[in-house]
Order: sequence, then C-alpha cells, then structure tokens
Amino acid sequence: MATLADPDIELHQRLISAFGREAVLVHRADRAAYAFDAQRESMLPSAVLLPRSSDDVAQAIRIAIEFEQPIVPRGGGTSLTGSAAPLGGGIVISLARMNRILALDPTRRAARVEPGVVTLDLSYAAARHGLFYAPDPESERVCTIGGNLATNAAGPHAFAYGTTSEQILALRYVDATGTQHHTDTEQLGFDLCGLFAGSEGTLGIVTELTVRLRRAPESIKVGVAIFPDIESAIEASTAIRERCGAVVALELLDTVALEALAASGDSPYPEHAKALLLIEFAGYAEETRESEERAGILVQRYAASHWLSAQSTTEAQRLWHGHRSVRQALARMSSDTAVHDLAVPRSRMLSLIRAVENIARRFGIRVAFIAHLGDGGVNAIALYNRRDARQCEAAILFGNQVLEMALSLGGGAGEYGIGTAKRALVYRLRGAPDRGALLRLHRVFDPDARLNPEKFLPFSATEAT
Amino acid sequence: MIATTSGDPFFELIERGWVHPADTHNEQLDITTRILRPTSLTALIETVHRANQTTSPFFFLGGGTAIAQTPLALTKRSRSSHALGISFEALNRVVEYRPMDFVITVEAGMQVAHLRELLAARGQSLMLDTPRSRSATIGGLLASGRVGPRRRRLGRTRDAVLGAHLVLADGTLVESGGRSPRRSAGYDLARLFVGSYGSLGAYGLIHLQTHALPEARRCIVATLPEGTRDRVRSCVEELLIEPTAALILEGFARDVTGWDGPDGRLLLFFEGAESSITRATRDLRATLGAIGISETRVFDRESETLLEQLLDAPVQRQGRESSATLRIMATESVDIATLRDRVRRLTGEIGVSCEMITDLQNGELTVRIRTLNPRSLEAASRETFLRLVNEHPHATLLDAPAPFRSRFEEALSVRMPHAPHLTALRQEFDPYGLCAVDRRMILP
Repeated sequence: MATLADPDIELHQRLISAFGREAVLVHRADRAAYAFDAQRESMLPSAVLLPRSSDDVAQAIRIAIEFEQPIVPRGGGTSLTGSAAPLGGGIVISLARMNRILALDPTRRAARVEPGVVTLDLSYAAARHGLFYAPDPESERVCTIGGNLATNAAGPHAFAYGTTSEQILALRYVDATGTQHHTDTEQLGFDLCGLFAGSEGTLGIVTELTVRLRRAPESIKVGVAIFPDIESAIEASTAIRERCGAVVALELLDTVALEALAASGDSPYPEHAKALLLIEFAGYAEETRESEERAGILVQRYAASHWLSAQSTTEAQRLWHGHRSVRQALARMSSDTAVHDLAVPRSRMLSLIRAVENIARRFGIRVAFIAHLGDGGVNAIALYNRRDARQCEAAILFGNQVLEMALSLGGGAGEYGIGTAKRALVYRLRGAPDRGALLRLHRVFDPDARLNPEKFLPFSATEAT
Repeated sequence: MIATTSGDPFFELIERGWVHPADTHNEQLDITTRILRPTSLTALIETVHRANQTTSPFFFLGGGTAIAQTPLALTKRSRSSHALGISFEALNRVVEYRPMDFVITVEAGMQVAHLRELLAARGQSLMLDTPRSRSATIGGLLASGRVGPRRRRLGRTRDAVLGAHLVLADGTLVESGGRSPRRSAGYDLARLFVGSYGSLGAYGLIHLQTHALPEARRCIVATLPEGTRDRVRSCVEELLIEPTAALILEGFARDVTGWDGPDGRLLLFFEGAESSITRATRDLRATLGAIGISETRVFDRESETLLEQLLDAPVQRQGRESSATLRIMATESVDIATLRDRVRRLTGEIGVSCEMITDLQNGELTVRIRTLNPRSLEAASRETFLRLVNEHPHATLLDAPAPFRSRFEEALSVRMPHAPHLTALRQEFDPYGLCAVDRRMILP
C-alpha cells in the first residue's frame, strides 16, 4: 500500500517489480522529459511507464487504481493543446515502444498497428505494397497513429480522404478498470471507433488499431496559382473542387506566410505573391491530366496571375516543401509564434480570415494564414515576442478572440484538438445539455476521471468556464 | 381521424397540430400500434419527452425498410406493453444547404433517394448506399449502420456524418459536431448513434458531407464459365483502374438483371472520369478474355438501376416465399474465398440451397436461404446461421421472419466483446429502458 510520506517511491517499486527497470522511468531528469508536450505547460509526472503490450497497459492501469494515480497516455508528445501533458501529475504511459506494424494486408487494404507507430513509418510500409495511409498531419515524421486517433488528426488531404476517424476499422482498448476490449466498425452496435476518434485518451487507452489503406494513385500532379487576393483564391478553390474530380489538396498561403518564405531564401514560389494556392491532383493518369488542365483554365478565370505546373516529381516535392517550410520560416521571422487552428464551413472562411485580421490589428499582432481550402480549415499563426509582457498578453487575448470568432461563424477549434488550451472556450457557446451529455458519456467509461484528467471535457454541465 | 382525450399525454401536441396521430394495425400479429408523427424538431423533442414521462416504451420509425429490425414486427415485450411509434414521416426537409460548403443539413426523415436527386441537381452526391432508397430515410440508414459495397473506395455510412442534433431518450436535445469536417467539439456523439437503432435516442437534424458528382458511371457484367471464379478474384484485384464495387453473384436471378454462369456472374461498377472508365473497360475485357471470359455487357445509364437492384436483393421478398439472409465478414485469418467455400460445404451438409453475393473488395459474404415453407426455413436457417455465427463472429442478420430474428440476436449478443460499454451507455442515456424497446441485441 502507498503511504502519505513516500507515495512515489512505493509506486516506483511496484511498477519496477511489475515491468522491470528498463520499462519504468523514475529519475527526476528522465521524468522531466515527459512533463510537457508541444504546448509547453508542464508538471512532473510521478512515473513514466514504457509498456510493450496491451497486457502491460492493462496491468499499469490496475496499479494506478491501487495507488490512486491519474494516467496520461502519450504518443509522440506533439500535441499543441496540452493533451499529452500530465498537468495533474500521475503516471505517464508512453506508447513509444508499442510501435510495431503487426499485420499489413494488401488484399484487405488494412494494417493492424500498435499505437506508437510513427505516422510516416506506416506510410512507408504501405508504399512497399503500392498502398498509402491517408492522414498526413504536419508532424507526421514524429507523431504517432495513436496520437492521431486521440486528436482525430487530418492534414492537407483530409477533404479528399477523410480525417483519422474515417481510416479506423477496428480498435483494441484498455478501459479505466484495466479491462481489455475490442471494437470494430463491422460489428453490430454503436460506433465506438468513431467515439474514440478525437477523445484525447479520456475513454480508454487504445493499444491496437486496424486502419484503412488505399491504393497509391497512378499519377500525381501538383501546381500553384498566384492570386491578387485571398477572395479570388477561395473562389477558384470552390470551382476546382466542383469541377476537377481528381483534386485532393487545396492549400492557401497568404502574403505574410509567403514573405516569410521569401525571407528565408527557401521559397520555390514566385516573389511578391499576395495569395498562393497549392493544388494537388491524384488518381488515374487521364483524370489527373484532365483535372490539371481544367484547373489551369479555372484559376485564370478567377484572376490568377501565374499558373505553374510541376513537370516532375522533384518539382512537385519542391512545391510541397515550400508549404511545409512556412512554419519554420515564420519562426525565423518572429521570435515567437502561436498557431491557432480553426475550422469553419467553407462559405465562412473569408469572413473568418477577415475577422482574424481585424482582431490582429486591434492587438497590434502580425498574423499569417495557412488554410485548407478544401474543407474550411484555417491556421492563423500569430507572430509575437513572449519576452514582451504586453505582446504576450495581446497574443493570449488574440487566441481567445479568434477561437470565439470561429465558434460564432458556426465552426470552432480545428484538428489539433481541445486539450487544456481550448477547453474553456470550445464549450462556451454550447448549451448545458450538450455539455451534460459529454460528461455523462465520459462517466460511463471513466467514472473516477482517471484517464487523462482535467482535459478535453467541459468543466461542468452548468458552467462552461 | 383518431380520437384523443385531454387525459392523453399527447393531446395538447395533437391539438396544436405539432403531432399527427395515426394507428397502424399489423394483421399478422393482430395488434394495433399507436403512431405519432411530429411535424418539427421541437415537436419531436416534446413527443419524446412526454413519451419518456409516461414511462411507456416507444420506438422510432424511419422508412420501415430495415426489415430484419423493423419495430412493427414487435417482440413479446413491446407487444405487451403497448409501445408508441414515433414516425419521422413529416420530418423530411432540407434545413441548410450551401453547395460551396459541400455540406447539407437535413431532417432525419428525408428519403435517401430524394436527397440524392436534390444534390444531383447541384452537381453533388452523397456516399450512402442503402436498400430501398426511395423509402429509406437518412436517420434510419444511420441508425441501422448499414454499409454498402462501394465503401472501400467511397467511404462508409458513418463517414458522411459531420454532426447532428440528437434527441436523447429523455427528450433532451444535444448538438454534436457541426458543419465543418475538421472541427474538434467533444466526443463524436453523432457517430456513436450510427448503428444504435435508436436505442440511445434519435437523429433530429443531420449534417452530411457531400462530394462532387462523378463525371461518368458504368457497370460491367460478365457471366462466369466453370472454373473461373477464383481467377476472376485475383484479376479484379490487379486491375489498374479500381472498380468502386466488385461482386460475384450466385443466384439472385430474379432480383438483379442478368443470368448466372456455372460459377455465377461478375458485376463491376466504375465511377470517375469518362476517359478512365473507357480505359478500365478496355483493360477489363482484355484481362477477362485471358482467363476465358469472352462476353461482357456494359451498362451506363442503367448502372444506377443495377446498383439499386443489388442493394435491394438481400432484403427482397418474392411472392409467398420466406427467406432469411445473413451477412458474414472475412477476417484476417479467414479470407473471402475460404468463407464462401465453408458456407457452400455447410449448406451442403445441412441440405439447404442458398444464394450468395461475394463482395470482393470488402470481404463480405451475403447468404440467402429461401423456401416456400416458413417452418422449414426456420429450421434450415437456424442451423446454418447459428453454426456460421459460431465460427464467424462478424455476422449480421439482414432479413428473417420475426421469431427467428430475436432468437438469433440473443445468440449474437453474447459474442460482442465491447457489449459492457454498449450496455452501460444505454443505461446511462435511457435508464428506464423505454427507448427502441425491441432493440435488445446489445443487452446480454
């Protein structure tokens, strides 16, 4: 039994005896590495466990119950909203060593994987069979499939292929009592796979996922169009989505983002562009060729000054590289950046962008936009200096106001999840019954609020903040 | 006109015109069921709330097309306790549609075919496959969790759901998700309700993802000569242009246009650019020709009709015949070919004949047993299906006479490993067990 005097020491001994020394991190310096995620808020966990199997996770949960410790599951630690930070202490269960691809079945187009598999590693493995895994969040080199499920991660191709939720065929999970379960989308009953997507580890710890793979496209074409303003780019993107069947990505970069890229010396795009639309077509050779030709005509109809079509895979990769380098370029341009991931219906994107620009002006903050025009995802990146107290405060207020604006336009927080960072605001405009239903549902799975506590959920049914 | 009195808990709603009453008599079971038709979301909420307060069981009625689970085929429990039917017939409007959003918000009672036509007029489509799409409602389709043969390419039913306004069993209205695909908004209750058969509550409004209509559609049908079935399977898998659906039919001649060869017939559906479909046709003919299949028939305008026939086939009733239909999924360890052979062997041992649809892309086998005598059907299908379910837990009963249905579901419920959480969810959201009373399969 744990004592009040040395609860962590006893916990450490118990974990070590159950899992061995190599699976448990007890030293302060080791634990410190798991005290935070990409959002930076931190608290030292009591212990860190690196399980190797679903049985290990189940046993760890039973030990956590015995020692009355909260449990914080962790994938790649790339969360930008604090989802993976142990802000109430407890045991961090890092799934990094559960990183095996257990089965890859080209005929069924499915892969059975452990949650610690790095997203890009699955894509590489699938590519060997002429297949691909669709979600490609920006952090795909380090984030994990389990983490992607927890936040329902997406990426630039989500409007064509869906978010992580749409790729899940089956799950194995360990619930808050340490019992293991299996659920899949072909089974009779409610859709628990859909429920776990985006639940940020608050319903159970997923220890195995069966995900959908797709056949790699025969042909991929990439092009960029330069527009005089964002309005034209958005209008062109609608026409392209309607008339070019093979379009799979429609990414917007605004003036500030393009300036930052140009300043970094790493821009593959024409200089002095006000708004750029990066377009990808994928499918059969005839489809991509026809779609690309049609898009070339459409962008001119919407006042594009340039239309550049990649003539080789290398050129296509270069155009995408520019898009992927924007964050780094912005980080070089400004001492600090804060990404606000927003989502609204497509018809409200322009209103949101204009409103965010106004809010930024009011706070004296510079803002850059990267937007997923296919489905209404808008990343507003605030540039500020955290050492300047006034700017720091302005950046926080800016973040709150832009999220409120997205909510008022029928959208809300985007694919980075809710975590602790957006918890207070996301549910503000929702009624008590909505909040109550989420809390009731949570009670079914985790009545003692042991799994990733103090995150994701509304504070109470009656009071949102 | 149906008489009501002021003692009737729904009297006020009926008087105000919020709810239209209608009784339905089931001659087969000789019972009369009270049906109420709310005319708006508010009326639906109020109806469910009052039904809950009276502590009488109630159930939701969509298009009445989920034959295996139709609430009108009442079980003993609901028959004895005078369950109330809440119909979505009057809740069939478009609430919001801006084509540039690629999202449409509709009331749950809208018919699938009607919605499809509405979207097609704006060059858009919905990725939803359902039998009897003229009658089937969007809410009913989602509640049944049905999936179609095009799901590997186009996505499953649940994938189309971006959010919903849900009416819980106690009449509480809850909003889940929204009109933006990337939005994080708490647990995805809208998808949790997929496959729930209304046992947690009902869909009121639904936000659905739409897509651009494909430029062209084509169905290619080939009769399979003897000894070609297995080779056809690998040929289809290797086609450079992937079909949106690929099926082998053995039987179902009266339901789907065309005739079987000794090894059945192959149906392939293609959607996309005209030019790709032209290439697909050329490649397919060459591939099939190489394995001895020389005749193929091409359907362009009729391809949608063929798809509808195919979707309807497993639940189609012919004359006075009785039939029972089971769907079984291949798994990582048992592939679709092995599964099909097992079913053939098993039905041979038992001495019943069956018809089958093999969905090559999704590893799904649909097995139908048909007889003129309901008693012999029950005996044959019980033995066949229960033995299949013992070996293959991924089985769903698509159609069967009512008494067999409930016995089958009882047998099935014990093999659901996640059943404790489904049961707990149901108890949390409907503690008195009033909602969708005949949906007992999730309770052990």
